[in-house]
Amino acid sequence: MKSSTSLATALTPAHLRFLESLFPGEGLVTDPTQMAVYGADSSRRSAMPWAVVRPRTEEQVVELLTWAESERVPLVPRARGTGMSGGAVPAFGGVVVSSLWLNCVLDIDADDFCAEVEPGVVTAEFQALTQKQKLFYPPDPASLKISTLGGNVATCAGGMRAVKYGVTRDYVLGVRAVLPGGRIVNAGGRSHKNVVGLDLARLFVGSCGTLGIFTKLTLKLLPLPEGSATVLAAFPTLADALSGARGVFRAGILPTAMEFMDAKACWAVGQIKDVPWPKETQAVLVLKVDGSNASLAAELARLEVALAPAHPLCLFKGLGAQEEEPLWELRRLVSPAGFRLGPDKLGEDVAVPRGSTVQAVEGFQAMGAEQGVQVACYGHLGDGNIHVNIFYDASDADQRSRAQACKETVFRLTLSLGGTISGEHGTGITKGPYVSWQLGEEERALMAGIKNVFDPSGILNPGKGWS
Amino acid sequence: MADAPKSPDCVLCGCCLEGCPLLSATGREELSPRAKALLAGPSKFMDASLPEADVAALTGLCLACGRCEKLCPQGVQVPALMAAMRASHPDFKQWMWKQWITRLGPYWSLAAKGAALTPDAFVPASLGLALKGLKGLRPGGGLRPWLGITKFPREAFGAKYGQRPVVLFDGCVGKGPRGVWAETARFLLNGLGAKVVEGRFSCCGSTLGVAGLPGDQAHARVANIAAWREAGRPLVVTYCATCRKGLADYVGCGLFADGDEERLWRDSLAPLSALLMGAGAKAGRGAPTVAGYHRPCHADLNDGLGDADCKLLSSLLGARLRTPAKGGCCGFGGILQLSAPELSATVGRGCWDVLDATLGFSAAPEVTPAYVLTGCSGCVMQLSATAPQGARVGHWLEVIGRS
Repeated sequence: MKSSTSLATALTPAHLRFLESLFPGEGLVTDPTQMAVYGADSSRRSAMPWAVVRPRTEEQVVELLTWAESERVPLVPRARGTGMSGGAVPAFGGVVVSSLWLNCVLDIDADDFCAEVEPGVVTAEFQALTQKQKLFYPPDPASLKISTLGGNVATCAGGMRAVKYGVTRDYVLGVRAVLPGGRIVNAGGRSHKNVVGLDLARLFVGSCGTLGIFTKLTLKLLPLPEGSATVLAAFPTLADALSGARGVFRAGILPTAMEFMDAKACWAVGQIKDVPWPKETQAVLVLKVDGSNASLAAELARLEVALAPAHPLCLFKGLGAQEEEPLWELRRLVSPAGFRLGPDKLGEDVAVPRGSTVQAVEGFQAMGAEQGVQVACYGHLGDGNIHVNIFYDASDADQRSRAQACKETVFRLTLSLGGTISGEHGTGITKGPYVSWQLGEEERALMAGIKNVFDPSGILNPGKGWS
Repeated sequence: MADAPKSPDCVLCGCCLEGCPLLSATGREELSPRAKALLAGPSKFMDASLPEADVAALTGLCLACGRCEKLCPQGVQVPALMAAMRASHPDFKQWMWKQWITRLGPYWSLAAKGAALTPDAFVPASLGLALKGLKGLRPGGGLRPWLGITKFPREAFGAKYGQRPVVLFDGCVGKGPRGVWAETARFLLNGLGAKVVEGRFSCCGSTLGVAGLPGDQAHARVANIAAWREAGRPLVVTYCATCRKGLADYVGCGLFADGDEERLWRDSLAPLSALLMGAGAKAGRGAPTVAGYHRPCHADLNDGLGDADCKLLSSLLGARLRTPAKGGCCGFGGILQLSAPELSATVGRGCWDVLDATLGFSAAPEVTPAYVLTGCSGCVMQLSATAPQGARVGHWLEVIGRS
C-alpha cells in the first residue's frame, strides 16, 4: 500500500466542479452545517467531510471511483452512521459517499431463498418484506431499525440471534462492488453453495468500506420460523446467571438468543424505564427460542426447568411477539441507558471463548473498581461476545486516563483468554491502535497486501481497519 | 453511581432515525433529528464553529411531529431545541411574523373564505401549499355526514364523570374555518349527557412555540389556564390531536399554582373519542365503501390512551375503516410549510403513497375512493393541500350526522 502522503489533502475548485457535474442538485452537499452529521457516527467521534455525495446509480459510483483514483481523493463510504467504532468518520479527510439514495429492494425470491438489495435499505424494513413471504433474514444487530444492510455487511454486524443463526457474514451470498478506478466486481452469486475460487464476497464482509463501494448485495434467506418465545430471569449473583445459561445448553436447548446484563447494566435500564426485576438483582438473562407454535409452550417449560437449579429471583415468560417485545425492549435499552452511569463512554465489544465468560466478566468488573470508573457488562452470552462499557467524565483528565487504562486492561485480559478485541463492532478508529496487540505482523502484512490489490492508492476509507 | 445528566444530551445513538418522516421521505441525513441535535444540542459538533444562522436554518427544517422525542432514550427534544434556536434568532422571529401574521393572518381571520377567492397568481410561491390547505378548509368544503349515532355510552360517561362540568377546547380551526367540528362535538357531548359549560380559550400555543415565539406561547397558555379556572376547572375535551398535545405540554412548565392543580389539569384533558368509546353507529346514504384513517403524529401521547380516535372509529366503522400499518406523517410540520414548502410536499406525497398502498384507490378508483378521515386540524389542512385529484379528506366529526 502506498503511503497516505500521496493522497490529496483537500478538494480543489476543479474537484468541486467535477463533483457538481456528477452529482447535480441535492446529490452534492458542501455546506459545513449540512455536512456535520456526515462526519459523525455512534462512536461520538467526528471530523468534517470535504464534501458529501449521494449517488443514485451505479454509473455515478463508477465515475466517482474512476475520478477519485486518478485524483487520489480519499472516499469514505457511509450508510446511516450507526457504527460504534468510528468506521464512517472521515478522520483522515475525504469525500463522504452516502448510500441512502441506493435503497431499493430489487428481488426477494421464495424459491431461491435469496434476495438482492441495494446497500441503503434499512435492515428492519427488509426483514418485514421477507416476512410477508414467510422468509427470514436472521441477522439482528441492536440497531436493525435504524441501520442498513450495506452498513451491516461493511461491519459484519452481529446481533442477538448469532448464537443460533450466526452473523451477517453467514447470510452474504454475493457482493457487487465498485473498486478504485471504476472496476466492477461481482463476487459470489445466488447459489447457497459455491467453492469456485477464493471467497471474495466474504472478504468484503467486515471490510469497513476499505475494499470497494457496494452497489448490490445478494443475501441468503431461511424459512420463517412459525413463532418464538422469550424468558427473562433475574439472579442474585452473576455466577448464578451464568450457571443458569450453562444449564440451558446442557439440557440440549440451543436458544435463538441468550443475552445477559450485569448489575450496573440493570441499574442503568432502571433509570429510564420501569423494570420488573427486584432490587437485589445482580444479573439478568434473556433467552429466546423459536420454532413451531405447537412446540413453543413446551420449550418455555423446558427452559424454566433448565434455569431452576440456578435459583432465579423472578422469571417472566412471553409467548409470541406481543408478549416478548416488552422483555426485549429492556435489553435493547441497555446501550443508550448506560449514559446514566456517566456522560462519556468507551464502548468495547470483546469476545472470549464461551467457557471463559465468567472469568472475563468478573475480571472486567474488578478492573472498573480498581480504576474507579463505571464498567457495565452485557451482551451475547451465548456466543461469548461481551459489551464492556466504561463510563466516565471526559472533562476530568484524571478520569479520562483511568478509563483509557481500564480499556487497555480489558483488552489484555481478553487476549490472554484467547479472545478478540472486537466481536462485532469492527475496529474503525477507536480500536485501530490495538489491532497489533491481536494480529501478528505476518497476518497484518497479508491483509495490507490484499487491500493493495483492491485499492492500490489507499483512497478507500484511509486509516481504518488493521493498518 | 453518577447522577443522571441535568440536561439531556444527544449521544448520537441514532434511535431517532427510525421515526423521522423527513429522513425517510428524502434520504437526506442532514435533515434527521440526530443532525439537528448534533448542531443545536449541548454536544455541539466538535471540530467546527459553524455560522449560527446556518445552524438555525437547518435546525428549523423540522416537522415538529415529535416522533423522535418518543424514541429518544436520553429525552432529547429536537423540536424544543429547534424552537429555542428560532426564538434566540432575532431575524428569524421577524421573518416568522412577516410570513405568518402579516401574510397569512388575514386568510385565517377571513375563515379561509378569502383564501378560496385569492387568485393563485397573487400568492407568494412559498405560501402556496399553506394557502391550498386553507382553501381545503373553506366553509362547505368538508365531508357530508353519513354516520348516525344510534347509542351513546351515557351510563359509562355518567359513572366516570358524574355531574362534573365539561368544556370543549375548540382550537383555532374548530373555532374558525370548520365551525361544524365544534357544533358536532357539542352535539355528541349532549348525547353523552355531559354538563357542558363554555370556556374562553385561545390558541393552545403549540404552533406558536414551534414557531419560536415562546413569549406568545406563554401568553396563550396562561390565558387558557385562567379560562379553565374561571370555568370551575372542568374536564377539558379536545378533538384535535395537536391541541391535546399542546395542552398536555403545559405540565412541567411551572404554570400552575401547585402540584395538585397541575395534576388536576393533566387528568382533566380528555379526547372526545375516548369519552365516546362504547357508542353505536349506523352508516347511512353517502357512506364510502372504505375509508382510510390517517394517524396524526400527536395522536398517541404515551399516556396509556393510545390513539383514541383510531379505536373509536374502528369500533364504529368496523371493516369499513382501513388504517395503514405504518402511519406516515402528513408533512404539515408546524411552520415547515412556510420555511420549506418543497420538503413538506415531499413528505405529504409519501403519506398519500402509504394511504394508497392500504386503500388501493389509484389501482381501482371506481371501487375504492380516496377517502380519508383523521383527527388533527393540521393533518386535515395538509392532507387537503397535498391530496390527489378527487380525494376527500376530513375530520371524523364531519361524517357524523346531527339528527
